[in-house]
Amino acid sequence: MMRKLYVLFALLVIGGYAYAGWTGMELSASKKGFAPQGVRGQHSGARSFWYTGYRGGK
Amino acid sequence: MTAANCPSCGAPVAFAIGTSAVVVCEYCRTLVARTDRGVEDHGKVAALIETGSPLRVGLAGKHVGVGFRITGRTQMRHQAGGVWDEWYALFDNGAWGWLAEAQGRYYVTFRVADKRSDDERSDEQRSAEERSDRLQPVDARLKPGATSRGATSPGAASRLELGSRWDDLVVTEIGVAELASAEGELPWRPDPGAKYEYADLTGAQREFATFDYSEDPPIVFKGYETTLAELGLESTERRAARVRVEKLSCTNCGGPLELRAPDQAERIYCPNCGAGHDVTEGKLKFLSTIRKKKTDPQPVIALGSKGAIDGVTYVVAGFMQRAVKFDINYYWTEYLLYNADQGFRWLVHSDDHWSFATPLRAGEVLDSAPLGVPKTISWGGKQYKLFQEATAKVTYVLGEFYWKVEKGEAVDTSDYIAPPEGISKEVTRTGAREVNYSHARYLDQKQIAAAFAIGKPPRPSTIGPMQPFTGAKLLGSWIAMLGILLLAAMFIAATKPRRALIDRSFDVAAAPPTEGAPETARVLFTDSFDLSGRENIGIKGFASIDNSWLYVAGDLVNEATGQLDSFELPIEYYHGVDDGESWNEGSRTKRAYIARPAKGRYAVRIEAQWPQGVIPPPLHLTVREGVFRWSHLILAAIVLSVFPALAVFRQMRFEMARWKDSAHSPFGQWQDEDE
Repeated sequence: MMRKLYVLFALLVIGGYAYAGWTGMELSASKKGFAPQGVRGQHSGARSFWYTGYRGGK
Repeated sequence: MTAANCPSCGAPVAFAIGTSAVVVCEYCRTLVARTDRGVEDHGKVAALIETGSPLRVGLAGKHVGVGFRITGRTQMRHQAGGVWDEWYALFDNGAWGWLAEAQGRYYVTFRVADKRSDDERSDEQRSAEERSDRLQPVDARLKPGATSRGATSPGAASRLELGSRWDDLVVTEIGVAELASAEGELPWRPDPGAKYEYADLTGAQREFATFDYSEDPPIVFKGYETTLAELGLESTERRAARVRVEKLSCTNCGGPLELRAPDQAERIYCPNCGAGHDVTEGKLKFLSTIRKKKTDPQPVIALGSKGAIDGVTYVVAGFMQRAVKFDINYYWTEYLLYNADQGFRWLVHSDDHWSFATPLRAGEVLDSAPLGVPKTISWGGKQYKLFQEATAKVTYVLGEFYWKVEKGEAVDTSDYIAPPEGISKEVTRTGAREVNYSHARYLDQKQIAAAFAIGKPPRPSTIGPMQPFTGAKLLGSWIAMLGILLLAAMFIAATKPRRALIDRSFDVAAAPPTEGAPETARVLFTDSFDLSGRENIGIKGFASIDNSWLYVAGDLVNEATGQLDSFELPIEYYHGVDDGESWNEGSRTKRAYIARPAKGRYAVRIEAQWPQGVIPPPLHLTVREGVFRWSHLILAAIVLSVFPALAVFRQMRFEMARWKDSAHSPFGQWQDEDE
């Protein structure tokens, strides 16, 4: 019984892995956002925007 | 046929067989011996004891294709009290064979002749044989458990034509037999009441041999254990399968006593008052009474109960408690089961664990030290590990037994296990010296309850030596699932398209400053590229920094919609030497992954920052579509391994609990340290 349950569980894990690998899924989603509308409307669009403030670093 | 009159009573007797030596007078039980001068009185034998044997004089059968007819029998009395029949069979080829019968087992043997006659042997040869080439008398060399090779002097085995395969027979019993009675025609002249020393040996392939020390040199009989079916006597077997029960009364308290195996019972203890009786032909002789105490064990399965195990119905004939002493006495109980076809079996009950035991031939068991206690023994191709050894004493008995059991009877026992089975070895060093092996199989609560309808027996609170581990064993499934996972990974790796989108260096320090950005920060953009919308994106950043950092905050920018997928590449690498030891931390390479973005045209926005006063090295950026994710594979393998690892851990704990009370635990050292 336990063996059957394990095999079922394992097949689900393998199926999930295969699905993720085949469709290009990632375990953690990247942070999504949009370039500010104003920036997008400027010359060269999104390439010109700058976040305000410090975003990281040592 | 030679007709004569009994020299004792004058009744007619007939020698139907030319080679028979003696015929027993049917009227007065005189042994009438044939001599050159006629017949002579060789003494009287006692009346035959009813043994319930399915065989009888005149019965015909076949052995290995050769027909035979039973002409007579002797009844031998064992020193433990029982009797067994030895039937004499004249074969169609003129040979005499012996058909021995004991406790439901049959052995057909033939006398091994000395091939060389006296004339062929020189005086020197005879002298040498006298000195060393004979079978040795019952002495220290011939012990239960010894092999026939060791039991005979060098050369004796071949001289007696035992053959090489007979060299490794195991001596299972050494004892003294007394001629109790006889009937029919016999090929030798027994002396009524005479006692004979003998040694029985068995082999792995049902070989059987007897060394008979009634003559000098001893006589050797060899043959095989057989069955009535193999002898063509199946109908006889069925006749014998009837179970007779004799009802008697206790000589002490008058309570009812039932003999379930009246032909084989040697001793019975009254379940009411504990009075022990010797049993002879169904008659009781009072011996002594075991004083009853409140602490006496009570049978969980009542004497006389019937139960089916492996489709065979047994009746509970006897009950005994035995004990071994280590720091304290450890007790267990045993039930003697009887079935007319199968003979005797045992149910062993210890700490609420049950096992069903079947006797084995000693020769079947591969035992490197039959009189000792080797670490392992083998039977049926399986190795059994030593669990414990001790001297077991009988502490209480009830009911009926096929030997003269009594309180205090002691045997050296050693128990070997290969769960759910075990082999028990018992060496008797007093009286008839014997080594006995029995094979035990664990029975769980449901099996024992179903077999004997005793309700639900209590669940054991400990792990039994033979108790099987019933938890999940996932090793095979785990390996199979890992294999499938690897195949899936290989398929994905081999079939998914992979494409490099960006693979170039960016001189971040040379980039123009951005308005509003700090002095040590720059913003760069890569060239545009198209994404299929079906694959993940892998981004790798490398900078040859040294004891510094380069922080990269990036965005995958959809040029049409402005949607951003942000990522970070916090590259930092430090190293040095502290107290003479070199160290390093961080990495010059960082990776980030983005789940498949929507189909479209994209660019990567790079926002790099570095410490004040440092000129950062170029950033090498690689962006790929369709990246094989090793970490996903490893994570899946870990998830697949969690339950098998737990199962292994659980089984380890179970095995440690099993061996807890053994002096031979494979976990011994660990447990000692733990304690």
